[in-house]
Order: sequence, then structure tokens, then C-alpha cells
Amino acid sequence: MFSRHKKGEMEIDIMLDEPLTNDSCTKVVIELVKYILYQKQQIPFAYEALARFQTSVKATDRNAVSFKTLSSMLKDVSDQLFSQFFLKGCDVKEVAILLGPTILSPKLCIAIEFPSYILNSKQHKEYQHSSRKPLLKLMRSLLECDEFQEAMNIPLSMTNMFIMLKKNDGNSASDFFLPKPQYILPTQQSTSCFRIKLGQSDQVNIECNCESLVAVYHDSFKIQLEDEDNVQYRQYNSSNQSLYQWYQSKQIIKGFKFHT
Amino acid sequence: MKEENVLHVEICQRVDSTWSRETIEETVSTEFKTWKEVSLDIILHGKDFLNNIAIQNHVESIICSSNYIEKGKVKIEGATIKYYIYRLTQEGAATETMNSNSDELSVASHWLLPAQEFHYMWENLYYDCDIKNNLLHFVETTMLFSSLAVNSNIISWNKVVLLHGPPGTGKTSMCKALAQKAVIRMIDRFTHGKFIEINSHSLFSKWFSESGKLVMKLFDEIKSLVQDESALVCILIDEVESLAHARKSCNNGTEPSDSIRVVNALLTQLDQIKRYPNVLILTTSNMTEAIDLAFIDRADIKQYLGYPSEVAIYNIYHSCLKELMRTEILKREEICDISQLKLFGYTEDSNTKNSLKLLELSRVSEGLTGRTLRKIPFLTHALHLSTDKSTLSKFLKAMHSAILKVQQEGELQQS
Ligand SMILES: Nc1ncnc2c1ncn2[C@@H]1O[C@H](COP(=O)(O)OP(=O)(O)OP(=O)(O)O)[C@@H](O)[C@H]1O
Ligand SMILES: [Mg+2]
Repeated sequence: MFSRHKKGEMEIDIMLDEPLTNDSCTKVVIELVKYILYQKQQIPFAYEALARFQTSVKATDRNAVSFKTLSSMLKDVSDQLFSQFFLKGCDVKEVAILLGPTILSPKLCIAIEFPSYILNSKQHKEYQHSSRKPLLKLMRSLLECDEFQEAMNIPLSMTNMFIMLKKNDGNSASDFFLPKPQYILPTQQSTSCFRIKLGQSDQVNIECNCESLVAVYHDSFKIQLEDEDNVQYRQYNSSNQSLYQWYQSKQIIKGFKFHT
Repeated sequence: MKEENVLHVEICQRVDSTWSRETIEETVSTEFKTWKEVSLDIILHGKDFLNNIAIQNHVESIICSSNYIEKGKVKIEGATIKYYIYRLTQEGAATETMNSNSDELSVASHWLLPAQEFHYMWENLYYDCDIKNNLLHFVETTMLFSSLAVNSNIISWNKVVLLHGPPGTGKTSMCKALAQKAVIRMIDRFTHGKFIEINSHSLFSKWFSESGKLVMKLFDEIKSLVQDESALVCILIDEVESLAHARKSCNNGTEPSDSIRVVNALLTQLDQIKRYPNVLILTTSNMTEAIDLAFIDRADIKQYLGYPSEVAIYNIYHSCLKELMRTEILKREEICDISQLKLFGYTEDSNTKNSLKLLELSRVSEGLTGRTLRKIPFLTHALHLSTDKSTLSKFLKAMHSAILKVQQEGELQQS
């Protein structure tokens, strides 16, 4: 399951038993972000604990304010990421979470490769393909990986978190994830690099029957449905690798320290 | 190729544009073919290209310049055009912090170039003769020699620039602007730049036993940045005389000897790092007399930045007034730039009246630093004007009073 690759990059292969949907891809990324923020001491307590704490104090409490800022940053990234999966002419292949002063000098770099097909949530419903199972499997794999846990334990002062997206986008503008045409993920010594490869085992039934189950779609997704009705899943073509480029989220995520 | 004819066209691509550089270049060059001439050293905003949707949507701005002529216009036909296409990074400085005895010190600030924050800095610095172009050519030559691995035992060149001069003459700004400009002009050789400002004060405000280690740690960090050969790494040491100072005062036996170790460690590290082909070291100093640091002695270019001349002052004021008009604090009125004024032979008519008045004010302002000059319009408004939208001629009168006031204050301070 774990293997060391070129220049110190550690590969973590994870075979999922459940198909990933656009929705669960987004959740996997955001949950990983929360986990890293806490593990790398960018936030004082686990994210969920902060969320609870925040409801128990005055709205003007400094920590509550900091948390609200953070959660709205995450929501922003999450919404934008989610919408990328639906965008016509746009194909997302990888997400990377970078922690460090700039995108070229991160201390930690975690790339997440999505499986070659992601089910479109337009036709697939959360209750049919829950994001809970893939998430559990991912977290368990990370806990079992000693190198990953070691990297989590290296202390790091307050710094920036960048969300990068590798996609093939035929649209002429990308206004939240900004194009970084020549960017490649860092490989220098001072960066701990991990690549999480999400795969699907063969027995996963891609052609599920959601479509017949769900008659009414969510309003906001109606627009693009017409001519895509019979697209069950998308699959990317390995011959057009060079068309995939990195894009950087405009929103930089910053944690906070606890004020006593 | 006739060198004089090179027209440098720097195209800042919009950050959200997904077009390739080739497509951008093609779009702009097609547009240029329909033009007869183009203005030099003037920012052409993409959104003002009303007949060209592609430029509006994909280009932030275009700046054309030539090595030999400043301002004015040049013919497009017959010129050799070189295009530089770049995008700005949006994020501001990242601080590089280090732990020293449970204290967190910010030892350096770090920018990715070309950066939004440094944008148009170069265009807004005004000096005489060719100071700016000379500095730029110096950097370009340095990088050319390095990349071709010219043997430095035969032809010697260092990679250190020293800008010195009185306070407020634009030394720090110039370092930033120069780094940004160099990255843009060498965008074919380097895909991007890194600008690292070393906070030397923090390095030895803690000069107990830890600081030597701190310097080493900082340079380990910098060395790992330098490994990336596609980046031009510019290291700024502002107010380098503080290092010389620390050395001197500890020779007198008044300071703990640790500080000398820090300074020496820093200088040795700098000496080592500048051997990398993609490194450039920028330093500034307020001291006009020689700084006794062997490292700085070896600087190839020691450029003095002084008080702006009348023409430079005119340019600075001109840019300030334009900004006041853009933000509608001043009513929009015609105001000549210096080359137009020259063209009209400085003769007074209704068109040049205000401009000539401004030239007179520029003469009066000689001896003020760039920093003070850039404050004058603000002071003028704060001290002398109550209405929110003034005419140019009224503003110029008020400006005169503000200039006199600032000069009086300056004299008081000196006596
Ligand atoms: N020649 C000039 N033309 C235009 N603007 C100038 C000029 N000189 C200085 N300025 C302006 O003055 C301000 C101060 O400049 P800067 O901080 O770079 O000066 P400095 O020489 O580094 O000063 P110090 O020695 O005090 O650090 C900047 O905003 C800059 O734009
Ligand atoms: Mg300065």
C-alpha cells in the first residue's frame, strides 16, 4: 500500500470499495484540510471541537471570530471546488494541499489523485453513494502510514495553506482557481511530499441505478443537464496528459492561535 | 539586428486567463500591426482596448519601452518587437519564521515575482540619465554571464548591487522594482522569481548563542530555494551598514562578541550563495562614505541614488496629479508630460500654462527627497484645501505653500 517514489515522494494507494462522487471528492479534500490544519498545529483544537466551542461563547469572542473566518474560507474553497466538477469543458484530476510560506517552498505537500472516473452527482445521490465510507478508508490508511504520521508530528509555525487543482480546462477564464501554467509540485529536500492515489476496485459497479431513482434534480444543477443526460460517468484519457495544468486557489487558508 | 530598434513590449496577462502565452502574443501583435506608433513607458490598460474584446478579457496591461528613448512615441513599423508575457502573483509577503529558544522570529520575507505588490513600482520611480536602464542591463549581463558559465577567473564579475544615498531616495523601492523588472524581462530564462528580504535586525537582536545557528538555518532554507534553477532568486539586505556597524562596535569591545560571529556568518553565507548562477544580491545603504565590509566592497555596481532633479520632480508631481484626477479629487484637466512640454518649446499658452507652473514648482522643490515629494500632494490637500474637488490652478497655488512649509520644517530640523 505504501511505497517511496522519485525524490522522496511517498505514495499511498487507497482502494475504495465505494464509487466517489463529485460531492464525496470535495468532502475528502476538505476533511483532509481540517485534519492537517489540526495535526500541523495551525488551529488550536480539532476543527469539530472548535465548531462546537464557537456556539458556546459570545459571537464577539476572539476565538469564535477567528473560527468563523476560517470556516467561511473553507466553505468558499469547498463550494468552488465542488462547482469545478460540474463545469463544462473542465476536467479535474488532482488536488494538492500545500503548507508553507509560498507555493514554491512548502514544508508539506499532499497530492490527491482521483480515480479515473468520478460519478457525476448530478445523477447520483449522496444517500446512494455516501462519502462516509471513502473518508473512513482514507483516514484509516493515513493513520496506518508511519511516514505520514511522522510528517504530521514535525512542528511547524503558523504559515499558509494553499489549495491547488490540476485540471484540463477548455474555458477561457478561471477566476477562483488561477492558472499557474508552468507550475510543478515541489520536489526539494525540505518538503515532505505525499501522493494519495484514490482507486476503485474492479468490483465496484460503476453503472449504478441512481438515474432511475432520482427524478427531480437539485435546482442549481439544471442548467447543464440537457445534453449530458446520458453521461453516466466521466473518464479521462491518458493521452492528453499535457493538457492538465495546475491552478491555485485564490483563497489562502490561514489558521489561528487560541487567545486566552 | 539594429539594437536601437528593439521595442520591449511587456504584457501582463490577467490572472484568470487560461490562454497560452503564444495566443496572447499573437493577439497583441495582431492589434499592434494596425497601429502606426506606440507611446513609450505609459501603462496601456487592457480594459481600454475597446475594439478588442480578446485583449479586454485576457490582458491586464501593456507597457512598451525602448533602451534608448524614454517617453514619447515610436513607430511600430521597422521596429524589432520583443514580447514578454507574464502574470502577477496575488499573495503578499510570506514571512519565514524560525524558532529560537521558543521564540518565533521572522527572519525573512518572501515574495514570488512578478508580484502584484511590486507592480508599476519601476514605472513610478524617476531618475535622471539612464540609472534605471543601466541597472537593468547590469542585471541582465550578470545573468547572461552566469548562465553561459563564463569563467570568473578570467572575467570577474560579482552578483552584488549596492544602492546608496540619503534616506527616502527610493533605494528599497528600487531593489524591489529592479527584481520585478528583471524577472519580467528574463521570463524566457526563468519562469519566475523569488524575492527574499532578510531581516538582519531580527537576526542579531537575539545574538545570544543562538543567532549563529539561526543564520545557518536561514541559509539552508535559501539554498533549497536556489536549487530550483528555473527561478531567479533575489536576496535583499536592506540597510547593510547596520552589519558593518555591529562589526565595528564589537571591535571596540563594547558589544558581546557574538554579534561579530553573526555578521561574519552572514557574510560568509552570502559569499557562498552568490556562486549559484541564478542568484542576485541587492543591498542598500544610507551611508555615502565607503562601507567597510569586504563583501560590499566587491559589489560590481554601486549606484548612488540622490535627490531628484527638476525633470524627475516634474515627473513625480505629474504622476501624483494624474492619480488625483483618476480618483476625482482633482477635476480632470490637461497636463503635459515633460516631453510634450519640450516639444512646445516651453512657450506659454492656455494649454501649457498649468504645466509651466508645475515646472516652476519642480524647480522650487529641488533638494527634497522622493519620499517627501510624494507626500506634498497629500499635505497640500490637508493643509490648504477645503472643497472636495478643486481646479488644477488652485491646487498648484496651494501646492506652492505646502512646498515652502515642508522646506522650512526641513531647515528647522537641520539647525
Ligand atoms: N526618485 C524617485 N521617484 C519617485 N518616487 C520616489 C523616488 N525616490 C523615492 N520615492 C518614493 O519615496 C518613497 C520612499 O522610498 P524608499 O523607502 O524606497 O526609500 P529609501 O531610500 O529606501 O529610504 P530609507 O533610506 O529611509 O530606507 C517610496 O514610496 C518611493 O516611491
Ligand atoms: Mg529603505
